Amino acid sequence: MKPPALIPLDDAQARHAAESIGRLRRALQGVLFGQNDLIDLVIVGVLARGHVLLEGLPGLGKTELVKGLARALDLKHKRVQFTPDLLPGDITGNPVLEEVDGRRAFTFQPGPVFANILLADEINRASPKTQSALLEAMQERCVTVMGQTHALPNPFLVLATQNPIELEGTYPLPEAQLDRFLFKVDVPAASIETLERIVLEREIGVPPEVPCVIDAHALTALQDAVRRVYMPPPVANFIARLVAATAPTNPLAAGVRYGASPRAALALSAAARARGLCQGRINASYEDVRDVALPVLRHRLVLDYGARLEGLTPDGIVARLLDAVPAHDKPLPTSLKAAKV
Amino acid sequence: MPIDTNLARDPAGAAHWERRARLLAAEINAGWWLSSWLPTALVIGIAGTFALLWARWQAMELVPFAWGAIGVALVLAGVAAWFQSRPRFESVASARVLLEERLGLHARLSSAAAGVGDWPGRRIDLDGRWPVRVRATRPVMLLALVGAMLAAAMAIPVADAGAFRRRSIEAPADAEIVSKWIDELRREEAIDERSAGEVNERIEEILERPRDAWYEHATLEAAGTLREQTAAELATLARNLAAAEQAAASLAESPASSERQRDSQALATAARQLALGGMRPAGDAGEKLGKEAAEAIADLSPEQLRELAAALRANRSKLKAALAKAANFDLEALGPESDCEGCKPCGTCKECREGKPCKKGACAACSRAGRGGINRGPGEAPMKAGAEEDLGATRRELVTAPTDIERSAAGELLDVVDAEHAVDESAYTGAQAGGTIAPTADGGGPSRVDNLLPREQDAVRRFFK
Repeated sequence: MKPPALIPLDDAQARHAAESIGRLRRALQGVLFGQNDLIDLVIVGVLARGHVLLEGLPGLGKTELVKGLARALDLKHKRVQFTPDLLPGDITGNPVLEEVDGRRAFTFQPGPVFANILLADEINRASPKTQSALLEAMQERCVTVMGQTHALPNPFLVLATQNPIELEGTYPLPEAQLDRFLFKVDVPAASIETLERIVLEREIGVPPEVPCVIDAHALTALQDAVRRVYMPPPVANFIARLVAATAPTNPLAAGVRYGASPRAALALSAAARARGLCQGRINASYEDVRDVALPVLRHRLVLDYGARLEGLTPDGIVARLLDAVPAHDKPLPTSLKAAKV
Repeated sequence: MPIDTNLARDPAGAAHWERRARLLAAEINAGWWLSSWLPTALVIGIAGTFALLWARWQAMELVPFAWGAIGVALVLAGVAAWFQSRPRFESVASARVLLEERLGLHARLSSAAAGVGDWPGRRIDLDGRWPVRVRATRPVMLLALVGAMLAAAMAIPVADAGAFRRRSIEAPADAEIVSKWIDELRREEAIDERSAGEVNERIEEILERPRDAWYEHATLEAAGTLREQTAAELATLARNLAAAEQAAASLAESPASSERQRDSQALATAARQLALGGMRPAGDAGEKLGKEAAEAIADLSPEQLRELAAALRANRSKLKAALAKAANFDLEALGPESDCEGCKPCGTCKECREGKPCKKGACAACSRAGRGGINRGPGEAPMKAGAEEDLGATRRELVTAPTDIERSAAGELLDVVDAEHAVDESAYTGAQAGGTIAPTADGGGPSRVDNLLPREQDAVRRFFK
């Protein structure tokens, strides 16, 4: 049965949604100084119902960002520090033998995954078994323990972090599991101005004050509004050509061993819609796709050994693809020249 | 999940932006058409340049047709280019994408076209923000090149093809002249087919040489020689016919045995020379002379001789008539006119009743004394040095008939010359006293017999003229 068509947003609805998102953005900017792009991507990830993998050095404010986000959204959040001895049950929850009404029975004790926002700190330090348990929960948004399925709360967002240094004793996430993250965001180091502001306005051990700007119900409405953002066929075509261009057979993707999957196209679409809504628009655009292409695609491209030896990075390849793949897919005759506007 | 797009929005804005998109698509499509048409136009321009040059070379009347053909070719190429470039044509939707991306409209045009959202405001400044810019250098240069080539084809001086044709190689004139002679002679049946065929074979031998060699000295010399020899043979034929006719007529009218013997001998000689000559008569004369052996001519009756004379006269008339039609032949070489209407027997006078030559109907030329030969003819022609047989020398000279040595059999009698030694008694014989050297070259008559060729005879005649 064909699903009913969604009513697209009108401009007023889009503006209203953008105002709410703007409040959230400003609240988070009071938590994390000088990381506006990171904040925007996290908000886009939240609105697109995606999970975000943050990669950066310790102490850059990743945990504070998650805490601030939870408080601004008035959502329940948990933090799990991943270690090699962490078991899947430590994430999903364990059955506990309890005596109820004179009878002993196993009751399910929910794990930290049963939160609206889960911060999985240094996810690459856990064993693959534990990683896969979390990633399954991320994908299915439910947990099955002893044959019993437990739905995760809605909204459910995982922000995982991994450290690019101290790689000894770590278990890098396989490509298939990386694919489940909507974004992989590099957390840049703070600038001098940002550091100065931190020194002036923060104090160790004292968490920042974060007002609640959006409740869970409003967040769900925003996530539904994202679905109603119109995806014009030319923009969808642009996404398709961009994802197809990552195939190793494409000359533009020289050095890529495995390209992006259709899930990447869906992630691009969702992220572009969410970004469009953040801008107060009723439709996604080529600019939205270009803005989210890097965090969406960078962890989905697997480079071959030669490319890595040559110093090629997924970021460089995505940048090259964005330059080479135009929104307008037809070439122009030699008697005409595309004007740079 | 699909989004419902059945929402009507701002028709005025739609018309504005759709018009822009159509304009952009038309501009891009014109560029594709131009890029497909220009190479063909260049080829047509090159071909048209040569066509114009060819038309001007052939005839100026063809130039408008050449221009028309060029125009038609350009139009057809345009139609073909349209079909060829059609798959690459830009649709309005695609042009809309280009427009909204260049103007930074965030896919708003595509959304509005799909019925989602309003069209952007119509006051967006498009000056300097049009998505494409025309690069006119290459098309303009190509079109200018084509125009320059066509203009040059009209401006470059071109020679007239007619002049070229006039400069084309033609057969040697003498061979052409001889061919015309033979054609006329055949048409008049003045010579027999074998003689005409032999001359034609010689013409063909000359023309078989390469055309580039037709103007070489050897070819021209051969053609000239052929013409001279043919003219000489025709003149000889005419003279022999005249001599035979005269001899036959005289034989028919001469009762005396001495004259009869002389005329008989003259007729036999003439008949033999006719048979051996390069040109032989056709028709009755040839048949009659061919039938009668030289020895039997004397036994012919007067009527037969008259018929023979009439046949010979008719053949000579045909000969002269044919050569009169053919240009470039000196009719004087054929001898004096003898077949005029006035010389025909009247049939009423006494001479006619007695079977003698008619004096009543004879023309002035025929009435003069000496008509009929070197002994009885009217004498020397005006402004002539004299008869070729008598060149004014102190000794009697005879001209031998031109003979074809190649046709002679070994031991064959070619000619009989009636001559005698005429020793010049008054000639200086050197000093008679002793001790002097005896004179040389003190010879007799036979050594003086002249064997002048016709060409040499002409030279001598011109000398005395």
